Amino acid sequence: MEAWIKALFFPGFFFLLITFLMVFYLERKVLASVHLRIGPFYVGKWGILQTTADVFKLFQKEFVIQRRANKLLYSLIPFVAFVMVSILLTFIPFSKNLYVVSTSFDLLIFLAIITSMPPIFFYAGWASKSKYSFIGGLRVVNQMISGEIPLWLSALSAAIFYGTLNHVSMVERSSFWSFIFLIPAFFIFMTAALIVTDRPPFDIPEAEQEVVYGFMTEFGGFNYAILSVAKLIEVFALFSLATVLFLGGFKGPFLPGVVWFLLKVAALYLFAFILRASTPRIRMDQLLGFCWKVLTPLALLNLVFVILLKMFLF
Amino acid sequence: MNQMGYSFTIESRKEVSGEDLGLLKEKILQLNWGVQHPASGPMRLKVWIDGDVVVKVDPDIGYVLRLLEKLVEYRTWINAIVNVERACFMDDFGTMVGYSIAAEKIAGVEVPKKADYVRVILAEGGRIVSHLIGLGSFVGVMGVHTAMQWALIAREKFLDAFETLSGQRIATSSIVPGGVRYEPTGKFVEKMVEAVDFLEKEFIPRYEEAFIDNPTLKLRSVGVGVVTKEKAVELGMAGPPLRASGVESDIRKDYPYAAYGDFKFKVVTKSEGDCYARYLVLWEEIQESAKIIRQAIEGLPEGDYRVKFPVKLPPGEAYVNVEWARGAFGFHLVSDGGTGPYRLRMRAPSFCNLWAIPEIMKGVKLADVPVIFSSLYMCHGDIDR
Amino acid sequence: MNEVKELALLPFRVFQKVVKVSKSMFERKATEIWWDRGIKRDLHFRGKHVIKAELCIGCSLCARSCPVNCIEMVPTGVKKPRAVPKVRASECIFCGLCEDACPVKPQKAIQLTDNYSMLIEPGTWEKLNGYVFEPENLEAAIEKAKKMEELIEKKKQEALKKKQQQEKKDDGQ
Repeated sequence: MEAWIKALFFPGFFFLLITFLMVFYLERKVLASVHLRIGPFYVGKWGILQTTADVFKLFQKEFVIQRRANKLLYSLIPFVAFVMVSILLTFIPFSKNLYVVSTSFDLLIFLAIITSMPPIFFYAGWASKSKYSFIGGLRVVNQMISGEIPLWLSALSAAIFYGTLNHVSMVERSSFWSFIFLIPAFFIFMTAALIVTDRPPFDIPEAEQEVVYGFMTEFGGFNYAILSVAKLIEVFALFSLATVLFLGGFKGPFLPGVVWFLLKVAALYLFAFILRASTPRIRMDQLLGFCWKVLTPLALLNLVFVILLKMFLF
Repeated sequence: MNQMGYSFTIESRKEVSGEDLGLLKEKILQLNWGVQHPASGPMRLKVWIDGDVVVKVDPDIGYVLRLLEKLVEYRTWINAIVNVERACFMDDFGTMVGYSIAAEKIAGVEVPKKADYVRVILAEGGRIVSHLIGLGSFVGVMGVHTAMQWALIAREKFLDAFETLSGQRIATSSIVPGGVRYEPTGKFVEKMVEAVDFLEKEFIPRYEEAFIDNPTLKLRSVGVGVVTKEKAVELGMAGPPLRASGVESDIRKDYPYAAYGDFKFKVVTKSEGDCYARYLVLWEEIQESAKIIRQAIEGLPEGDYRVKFPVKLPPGEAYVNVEWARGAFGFHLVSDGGTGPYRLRMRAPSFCNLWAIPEIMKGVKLADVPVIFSSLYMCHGDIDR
Repeated sequence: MNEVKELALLPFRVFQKVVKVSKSMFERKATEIWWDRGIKRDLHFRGKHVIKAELCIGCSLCARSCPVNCIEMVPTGVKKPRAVPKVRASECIFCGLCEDACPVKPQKAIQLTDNYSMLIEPGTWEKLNGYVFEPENLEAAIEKAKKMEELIEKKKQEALKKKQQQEKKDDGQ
């Protein structure tokens, strides 16, 4: 396949949109079944088109800009966020040959883009000129900066273990032993990923009961849809990265690589959904304590452990 | 105006420039935590914050004022229950019991024993129904809606039982001066037993496993919003928040009304006085109420369930205190010898708990505001009346 | 140090809770899908009023007992019942106190039934205002009452005539 077809269709744009709709649908369905409800039911078979209908409803809405808002920044930010997270997905190998680009610095670029997300969300909060948005924006910066250091350290420990930054060769070099030795790094990475993408229980920036909807309070209609798509895709990208780094990516018996990859991502998602249904949100100061007192030291220790492994065993 | 003790400030309406996002001179931000806010309900808290720390909180009430006390004056003795039960939709039986006892005191009417037992069953059912929502919304303000959904499923069974009795799920208007309006048929008793069974066998184990002793729930609520015993008495708090501070106050035990003298139950108290203690008080009171319902159903006597209530009452007044789901609910009923109440004054427990908020919320984090607010277990209909 | 230990143990405790909560995914769901299948459970409901004009005695106790004053007594033009109740449905709170107040025995003249479907389309002000529960068979009842009245009138007149004849006879004697 040519690269542009891939970029447009399978691992690219349309796949992104479909993934977003399906993840949204599955989240509602899984949460509903934990709540002992049924969830979406009437639109399409098993309510499968419910989220599509919701998103199309958002697309039809009026484009409202608040009087006080910074108009250019306010209307530009969602698209910037969307483009940036879409870049992330080009580096993910869904199968042995199914990726858009593959360089020797895959992981580095990926993490660099993740690191540049908080300013964008902060600007989203700043540009809408609302108290709640502003507090939400500040909280995003606070949280993401403290979460990114463990994220980097644990992801780099995997890179050190494999001795490469290229995603495809990482997957090819992974084995059962690599999975075993990288389990601590995997747990640290998952926790940090939940913190960075502000998934519950770390959804402090958009805590509904405290600051309405954080930096997304003033967004509506199309802007809101794009921004929330961007956030969901960021989660998807980080979970895919976890699959590539720690769970052996597209490797697996019998089934084709893509299916194995998506199954592994789905398992991570399922965990995230049930985590949302069972764990109350924690406070900002508690999160900072957790990040700086527990997670970062552990990530450093893990890095030392991996370097020692590399020195003496492999 | 100042001589009368009121002072009004009218906020000047000027164009807000970009630099102040509501920032006042002292770098203190005022947030309107209210009326159209996901966790507040129909009331407003003005919250002044300095960074992440709350400096001052000022409750602003009156959004659901319905003048219930005044409306009662236009009613007859019997149909005033319709207004009384609407003090709060969550537990409507407690208020009706209190009003009915007050009216019976003035009239000198003796209620049959069966009516007293049915009143106890209904009032405890109402308490469970209300506490379930309290539990669910406490966990709900921390971003988890599972507890609320599970609690609502258990609540539905009780509402089914109420529907079987009276034909309405929430506003049942089933308790009147002179007894209860509907005969407690075998089907109602069956449904009530079914509901209590579901509560004890399915809901309680399932909920206990997940949301009692939950690590992050404890992290958020232990040691937050502490009210000491002395402070609770001084602030005049009522109900579960008072008992969570270690004051053993329960009208059902202290001054038994209806048939509460016949049953064995214990008053749940906790000594910590923080949000988690208030949550646990609700949790344990549900189990106590379920036990009371079982005892009452076992000992349900035979006989009449309603006696004739006179149309005109002699002049007089009565004050009755009942233990409502949210605390002691007082009724001061005055009769001037007419066909309806001359004046009804309701002393509402949520209103007392509300004014503890400015004291408790000094110096807590912004994220603690909804937690403390929901742990005080207030009903807005009852605050405004 | 203790605080750090607590925080460090937090993820494991959270994980335990996640496993416990995930059990409920396989339990029986509580939702009933009734929209296209209809409600199956047995209903007992305080719904639509049924007013029986032929039973009504026109005492207007129901109108007096109504807490929201939504019952109007409509004069019929006959003596018994002098007036029949008419319930303005948009104001009614379905408390059922009118049913309690009705003195007719054994069957009450005004009664709340299980009929719960009260959809009005479109829900305009005029339509909602005009939505009232009228007495059943009012005209028939009025005709019957009229006939009865005529009969009574006839009998009365006959009695009068008899009386007059009697009086004439008495005078004659």
